[in-house]
Formats: sequence, C-alpha cells, structure tokens
Amino acid sequence: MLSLGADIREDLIHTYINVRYELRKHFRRKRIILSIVLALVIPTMFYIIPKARNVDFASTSISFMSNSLAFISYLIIISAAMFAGDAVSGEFEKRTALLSLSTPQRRSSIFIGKYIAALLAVFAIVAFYFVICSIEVLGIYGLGAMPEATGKSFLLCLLYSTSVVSMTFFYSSILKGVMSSTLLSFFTFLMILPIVSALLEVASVDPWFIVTYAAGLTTNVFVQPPAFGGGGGGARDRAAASFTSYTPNFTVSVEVMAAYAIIMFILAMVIAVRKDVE
Amino acid sequence: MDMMSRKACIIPVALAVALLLSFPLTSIASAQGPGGGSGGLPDVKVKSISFSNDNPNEGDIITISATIWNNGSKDLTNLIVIFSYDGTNITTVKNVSVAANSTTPVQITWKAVKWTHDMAVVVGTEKAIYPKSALTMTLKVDANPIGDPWTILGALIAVGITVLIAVAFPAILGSMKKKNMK
Repeated sequence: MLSLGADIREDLIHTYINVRYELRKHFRRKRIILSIVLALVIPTMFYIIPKARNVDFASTSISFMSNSLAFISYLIIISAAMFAGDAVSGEFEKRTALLSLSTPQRRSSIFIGKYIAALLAVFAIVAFYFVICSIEVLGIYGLGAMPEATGKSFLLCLLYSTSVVSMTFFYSSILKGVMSSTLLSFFTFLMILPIVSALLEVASVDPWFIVTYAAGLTTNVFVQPPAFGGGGGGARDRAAASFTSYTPNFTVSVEVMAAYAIIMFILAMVIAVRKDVE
Repeated sequence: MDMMSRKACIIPVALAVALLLSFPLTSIASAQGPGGGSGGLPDVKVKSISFSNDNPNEGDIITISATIWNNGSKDLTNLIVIFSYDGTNITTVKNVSVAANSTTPVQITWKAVKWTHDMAVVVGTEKAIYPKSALTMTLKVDANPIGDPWTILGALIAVGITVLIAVAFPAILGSMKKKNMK
C-alpha cells in the first residue's frame, strides 16, 4: 500500500515537472505571446472601431459583452491548435520521443503533463480575453453594468477549451504529422462540426451532440433584454415557424462538452501511451 | 313661393324620406346603440389596462386587468372582451355587461412569454368586434437567466478528477499486476 502511495506521488511529481517544462516551452516558442496579442486585439476592436467611426456602442452592456465574446470560440480553437496540435505528433515527427520516452517516468505522466500545460495556456488566454472585455464594459457602461452572466460565460469557455484541447490531443495522438493534426483540429472545429450542425438543423434534427453547437451557450447565456419594439416576438415567432431553429439546452450542452473533454482525453492518452516510436 | 321653388324643396325632402325608409328600423336601433357611438357602433371602450406585475419574468403568471367603459346611455350586455399579445389571442371573456355611463373591470391570468409585447384588449360581440374600443399597452417580459454556474463548475471538476485518476491509474494498475505476480 505504501508502495502504491509512493508510486502515485512519484507520478504526480513527474506530471508536475512535465507541466512546468511544457509551459516554459510554450513561452520559449512565443506561441503564448501570439495568442495573447490575439486576445488583446480582437476585443479591443469592438471598442476602437465604434470610437474611430463615431458610432454608438451597443445599447446595453449585455449586448456589448455578447458581441465581444462572439469570437472567443475562434481564439480557443487557434490557441488549442497552437498549444496542443503538436503535443504528441510533434514528439514522433521530430523523433524527440526517443529522448523523452526513455526518461524514467511513465508515458502517461508525460502525456498528462502536456495536456495540463496546454489546458492552462488556453485557460490563461481565455481569462485574458475576458479581462479585456470586462475592462471595456466598465469603461463604457460603468461599474454596476457588468452582466451577471459573465462568470457563467467564462466557465463555459473554460469547459469548451477542455473539450477542444482534448479533441486536438486526440488528433495529435492518432496522426503522425504535426501539420495534419493541427489542420484537422482547425477544420473540425471551424468547418466540419459547424457544417454538420447546420445540416442537421436543416433536416429538423436537434444537433445537441455536436460540441460546437453546444459552445453556442458561451454567448447564449447573455440573455438579451427584450428591447425590440412591440410585436417583435409574435411576428418573429411566426416568421421563424417556417423553418426549425434550435438553441442549445444548458444542461445537455454542459454534459456534451464535458463528455467530449473526458472521452477524447482518455482515448488520446490510451493511443499516445501505446504508440510506437519508429 | 312660386311653383318652381316648391318643387325644389319637395325633391330633396322626398329623397331624404326615401333614404330614411330604405334603412330597416332594426338596423338603425342596433347601429345607434346607447348614446349613439361613432360610426353607429356602441360607444364602448377599453379605458385602461393594468398588470399585476409591470416587469415580469418569463413564465410568471400575471393578472391582466382591463376596465371597459360604456360611454353610452344604454346598458350593454353579452359583450365579449378579447385579450391578445402581438396579435396572438390569449383568451376571450364572454357575457360581459356594462351599465350605461359606467365601467366594468375584466381580469384574466396569463403565463408571461419573453419579449416586449403589445398587449391589446378589444371589445365586441359574438358577431363583430369594435376596433375603436381597443386599447394597447406595452409590456416587457424579461427572459429567465440560462443555467447556473454550479453545473459548469461540476463539469470542470469532473474533467479535473478524470485527469487526476489518469495520473494515478497506471500506478494502481502496476500495483495490481505485482500482486497477481506474487
């Protein structure tokens, strides 16, 4: 029993060392700086462009926040591809696995260390994006105008990040090339899954099981106040009745994102641990 | 008055009498109604609309009260009062009576639907509604907040626990193998 405890402790230490090493690597490669620049530039545009064009900001802080966060899913996908795209495939493509896998630590510790480091890096980018958006809201609408749903949206973005990182790790584990795993991750989240989701909606099927559809919650939680003129709802509902439109259910979507994160992580780890260095 | 001017008087009077006779008496009676409302319709109006909650949330049950005002001199019976939002009928209250020169309150309950609505109340009979009696008021129904942060935190913790188990799992598996070997 003492031996088991010591083994687990040792694995935890190895994982921690790997996390630190991977984070340093991300900083060294300046990928994190590129992501931070994107996280700074995208939300700042929502402040600078209306100012420069002398156009009014959104009427409410909720609308402003919702608009600003519309692009965070892209940032999550880009960041995940940058930090996780080559995590496993890179080791095999560049043959660095010959060195790292010969160290006296489990492959699983190395894999989990890489996974946690990628996750922390993406979390940091998401947090930075939210900080910028929050500063803008405070500057434009005042201290009391911070939308209540901001915290929920932030947590949902973190959850979506875990599913995107897990999926990217899965691609990185099954594919041999860095480019192919990174591109497949990009295309899956930017094109394939949204297209599948849209096609299912056209066929009147609720695409609740598609993670990109579930990620719609990150902005949907900002419930828009009914600001449209009278009669809007009824007329809109009648117009919308001609084709079926779905909105992600909160609980189901959270479960779907968590399921993608857990299942893809386990699959990725099992494949990566068993992968042979040729 | 000469013959020509007499004829000139008789013709318009005869025409007026003929016109009057062409209308059935019953239609005159029904059209004039109590007090003789504009356009021959009863002078009945929705005087006011009020809500038990002026800023309800989606799904709240609110009471909509309308005051029906009979500005005519004759009592009105068997009226119907139609409550609607954005042109969608909520309910129709039947057999409403309003005494002459007085008001009658009518109430209904409604499960609020999110959005800003035009809440309208109109009076009529089973045969026809009186469009001029209608009154519209705007009601803003706020949408309920979506989800709770604890569910998301729970999901994030589940992912975290999975990762932790994944760290410990190989050691546990190794320990079990060792035991089997012994």
